[in-house]
Parts: sequence; C-alpha cells; structure tokens
Amino acid sequence: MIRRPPFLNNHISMTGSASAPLALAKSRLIFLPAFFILCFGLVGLRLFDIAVLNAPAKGEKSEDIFAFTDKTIETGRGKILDRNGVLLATNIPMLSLYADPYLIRDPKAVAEQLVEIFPDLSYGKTLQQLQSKGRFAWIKRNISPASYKKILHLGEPGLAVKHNEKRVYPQGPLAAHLVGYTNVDRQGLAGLEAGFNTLLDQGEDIQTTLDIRLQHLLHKEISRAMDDFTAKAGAGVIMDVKTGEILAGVSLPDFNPHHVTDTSSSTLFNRLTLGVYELGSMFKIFSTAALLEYHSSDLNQEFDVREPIKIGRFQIRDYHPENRILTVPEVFMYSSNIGSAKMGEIVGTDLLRQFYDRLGLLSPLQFEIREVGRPLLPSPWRDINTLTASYGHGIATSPLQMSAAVASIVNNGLEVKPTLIKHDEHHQKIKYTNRIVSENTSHIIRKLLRLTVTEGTGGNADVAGLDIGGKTGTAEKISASGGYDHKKLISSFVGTFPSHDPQYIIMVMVDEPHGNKQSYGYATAGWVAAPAIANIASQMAVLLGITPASGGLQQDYSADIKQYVHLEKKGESL
Amino acid sequence: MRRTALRYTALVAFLCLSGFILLKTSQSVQNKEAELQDIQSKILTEKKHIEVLNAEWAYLNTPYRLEFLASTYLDMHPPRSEETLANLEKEHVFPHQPDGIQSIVYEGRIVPALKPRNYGGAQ
Repeated sequence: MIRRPPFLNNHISMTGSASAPLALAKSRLIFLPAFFILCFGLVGLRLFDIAVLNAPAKGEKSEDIFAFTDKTIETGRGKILDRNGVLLATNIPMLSLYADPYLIRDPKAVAEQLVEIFPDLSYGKTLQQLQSKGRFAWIKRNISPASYKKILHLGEPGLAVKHNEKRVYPQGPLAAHLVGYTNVDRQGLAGLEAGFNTLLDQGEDIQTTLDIRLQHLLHKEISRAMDDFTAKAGAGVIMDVKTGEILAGVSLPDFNPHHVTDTSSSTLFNRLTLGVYELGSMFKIFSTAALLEYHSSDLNQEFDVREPIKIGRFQIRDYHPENRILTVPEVFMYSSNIGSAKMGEIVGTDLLRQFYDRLGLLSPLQFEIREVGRPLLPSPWRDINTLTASYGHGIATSPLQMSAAVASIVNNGLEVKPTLIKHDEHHQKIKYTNRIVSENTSHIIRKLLRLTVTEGTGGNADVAGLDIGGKTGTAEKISASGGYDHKKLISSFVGTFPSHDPQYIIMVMVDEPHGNKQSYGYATAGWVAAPAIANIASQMAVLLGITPASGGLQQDYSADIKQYVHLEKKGESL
Repeated sequence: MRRTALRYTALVAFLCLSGFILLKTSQSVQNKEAELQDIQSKILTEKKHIEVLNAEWAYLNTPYRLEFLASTYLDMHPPRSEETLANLEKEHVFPHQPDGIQSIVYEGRIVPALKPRNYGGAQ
C-alpha cells in the first residue's frame, strides 16, 4: 500500500467538472510543505557540515572566528623593538578634548575650571571658544588620563573627548636616526619607519638588531668625545662581525622624534649611513690587504718612505714621518701615507679598484633604510687616484659602509652585509660564504690591527684583557675653496675585538674635533676616537658578559709579527 | 477524520517546535555574537592599557635614566676592565664596591648591602 501524505488523504469526493480544479489545487499545495522541508533539510545539512564534518578538534580554536577577532583587535601601526624586545616605537591611545558651545550653559565657570586643569590654556581664548556659535571647538589635544578624569568630574555635558592614537618613541633621541619618525598621519618619513612603512601600517611589529644598552653606551661615548674636543658632529656603529647585525648606530647631533618639525635638516641628517666622508688611513687596511692578497704576503717587503712622493704639483707626505725604510707592519702601524701609496702602486689601478668594488666601497650600501649615501669616487680614476685612494684620500664612503668592509676583512675574509632587522630565531643563523680575501690575509690584517693598538697610533684604544685591534683614520676635510683644510679634521677609529677571533666591530667618527690640554693640542684619531673605543669596549664586555683574558691566558695576538718591526734608534726588533 | 486531525496537529506541532528551536538557536547565536563583541572590545581596551604601560615601562627604564639613578642613589658606575680582571681571582665577583657600601650574599646572589635612605621622594 502506498502511504500518502495527510493532506492528500481527503474525504471530500467530487465528481464532474469541479473535481479537476480541486485536484490541481491539492497538487499545488504539495509545493509549500515541500519547500519548507527542503529549507530545513538544507539548514540541517549545513549544521551537520559545520558541527560534524568540519568540527574543530577538542581544544582547538575555530580559525575563522579568531582570524576575524585578531583582525578586529590589531588595528594600530606595528611596534619597533630592539633585539631584547625593548620598545623603540609604539602607539598610545590619546584623548583630545573638544567642546560643544551650544550645550554649555555657563561658559565663564567652565573656562575657569578648564584653565585650572590645564594651566597652559589661556582663560580669554578658552572663554572665547566656549562662547562661539558653532557646535565644535578643540580645547586641547592629547590630554592625559588624569586630566580626563578631572574633566569627567566636572560633569559638564558640553565637554567631550575624541579618541586618537599617537606614535611615541620611549627612548627619545636614542637611535632616532635609525628608527626614524612619522608625520601626523603616522606615515613613516625616515629610518625604519619609512623603510618598512607598509609592513608597519599592516600592524606588523619589527624587531631590530639594536641593543638599546649598547646604543646608549655608544651614544654616551661619542657625545663625550664631541664635548671633550668641541667637535661639530659624530657618528659610530657597533656591529656583530659574524652576522653583520648592527647592535648600535649613532649619528650626532640627534633629535627628539616627537618634535621633528622644530629640528634643523642638518640635525636630521644621518651621518652614519647617508653622510659620506673621506675617512683617511682606515683605507690602509684595504690597500694592505690588496697587497697581501694580489702581490705577496711577505711582511718583510720594504717601502722607502724617506722622500715624499711628488706627482706634478701634488705631494704625498706622512703625518707621523719615520724617515726610513719600513716593512709592511711598520707602514701599517705608523700609518705611513707614502708606504700605502707605494702599496697601491704595486697592486695597480685595476686590481685595487676591483678589490674596493668587491668590498662594496664603490657603490651605495644595500641597507634597510632609505637614507643611504652614494660614495664619492675620483672621476676619471687616474693612477694618481690609486695612490691617494690607498690611504683614503679622494674617496668618500659612509661610516657604516667602511665598518662593513672592515668586518668583511676580519671575518676570516668572508663578506659581511650589515643588517638592522633581526632574523627569526627559527631561521638558521646568517652564514656568509662570499670570500673577499683569503683566511691568511685576514689573519695578517688582524695581527696588524692588534699591532697598531699595542705599538702604533691606536695605543689609547687598548683595554686590558680584551685583545682589541684597530686602525686610526685622520683626514683633512675639503675646504670651501677646494683643496684640503688642515684645521678641519675627520678623526675616526675602527676597532675589533677579540683580535684572535673578532666578534665585534666598533667604529667612532668625530667631525671637526679641536685639540685640548689633555691631547696636547692634537685632534687626531689616536687622541679623539681611540679612547672612546676603549671606553665602549670595556663597558660592552661587562654588559655582554665577555670575560677579559687575564695573566697567562692573555696572549698578544700580534706577537709573531713584531719581528718585522724595528725601532729606529736602537736598531732592534720589538 | 480523527487520524487526519492528529496528523495535522502533529505536523503543526513539529513546525512550531522547529520554529521555536530555530528562534532559540538564532537568539543564542546573537547573544554569543554580542558577547564576543563585548569580549573583543574589552580585549582591545586591555591591550591599549597594556600598550600604555609598556610604553611607560620603556620610558622609565631608558638606559640613561637607569644609569643616572644608579650613580645618584647607589653610587654605582660601570666597572673598568681592570676591576673585572682583579676580581676574577676572587670567589665572588662584585666588580665595584662604592665607598661605605658593603656587599652581602643574599639568596646566593651578591647584592650591595645598602641601607635605604629617604631621598625626599617615595620610599
């Protein structure tokens, strides 16, 4: 027996002409319940699909809902953090007070109360605003929560606040040039704020490689050097040699990122990455490396530095004249321009240029912020330029670029690229494989750097037990009338420690220092920048838990090349 | 006739029940959504509070301020390398001992045994 639906189970029977429309009506009535049943069926199926087929496992959050939640909550601009998670840039919600003058019954009393809460407001102007005919008047932007509480206690219906967010930099001027700043619409205008504007806008946080403690240390010591020697400006960097991570980067004078509009363009200028300077004798690291790499690694090669080199009207002289024949280590430690120029001559123009290019000194640095300076090179590059470029004249690079090139030499000859962004810990540590010089050349240069500190121009950079190596660089600035100004110097020092296996590069550059009593009137790198390096390294060691090597543990890394160093007066080796 | 009436009643009852369940489900979903929004708004408020506190924490712990406080109130200064070297031989390394302030071993750590002084601010 066929089971019929109840509505078809009729008891009214008609015959004749009336039966046909009734049958039609009955059959149409089927559609309505069928439609409802279908709808319920669909809802039931969907429920089954969500609850059973795509059910989240126990304890697991439903992705869709929480993806939506996160999106709804994370709306602000991303934060910028240091390597230890210390805030460098963040947003804080602010309240801005406005008035609806129409709703204020007693403007005089309200104005008096407002001036009491905000002493910087003028009574007259506030009263004027409260008595105006409009429906909206800003009273004060960015008020504190405590002031807001006082406003609420006034119970005045005509006063209200608008919520807004403000970009704040808790560390103030510290690292301002690298972190950068934003405009009022919170769009990055400089530094990482500009370099990663899109990412930050999407609410992504950025963890930098900076260590705010080292940043403070570097800032303090460069400021001190600038004060002691009444210098115009300064810059410096602390870099991890193995990874290229920048632990601290300073450009002075610096600025308060909250008040950029009141700051001069000269102060906003990033001297570490954008400024290019002739850094002088530091280039002897590269010309010596080129000599060892392309010519001969014999340290006993001799260079006659008794006579200045004369080319046309141009003369190459020594700043600390030794007036004798020098070996490679002697040329390096006494920072002989004549000796280095002769090294450059031996290497040759093509090879030296090629070498500088491989070190990244001839093109702008690839870096994460936009403020990157283009090196100034001789154009055209003649043979005389090869001689001057060997001791760092006629070629200008940014201090950061210089530090990266030195890092590449001392890092066993493997290229190091500076970076400001900390790589995810889950990723493998950065490993550089592009070889610039051989391991042997790297070893010799490190010994020469150490020798410069133990016996040469960099003595003031030495710290007991830290095995610091380094090179001074004192260059005269180009005067407005062309040629070099003997009174305006750029004194810099690049140091690395520990010399046997360098972990850190520290560079300090001081612009236009003036000699003082303690330096016997000298404003050269050995007096100005080297002591800063010693102070930085000794405090860094404490902060980073580097134990100084003591007593028998302390070996002089440069000991075995001292045989090539001869004392002029006694005619004996050191 | 009676059977038909029963069937109709059952059908209507079923429809009413379904409708009620649907309404109930819809209401409970709406309630949950409102609850979710409320929680989200609370989380947002808390997050903003945390951001402000974090910013304040970072501001109060700037290295410059910590160094200033340590030198002003604890007479502490960064140790020199020579001091560290001199202390390497000792059992407990406490590189710098300010004048008149002794160090004590407290819970296995070396801390300055400084008697708190009132500097006019909060104690």
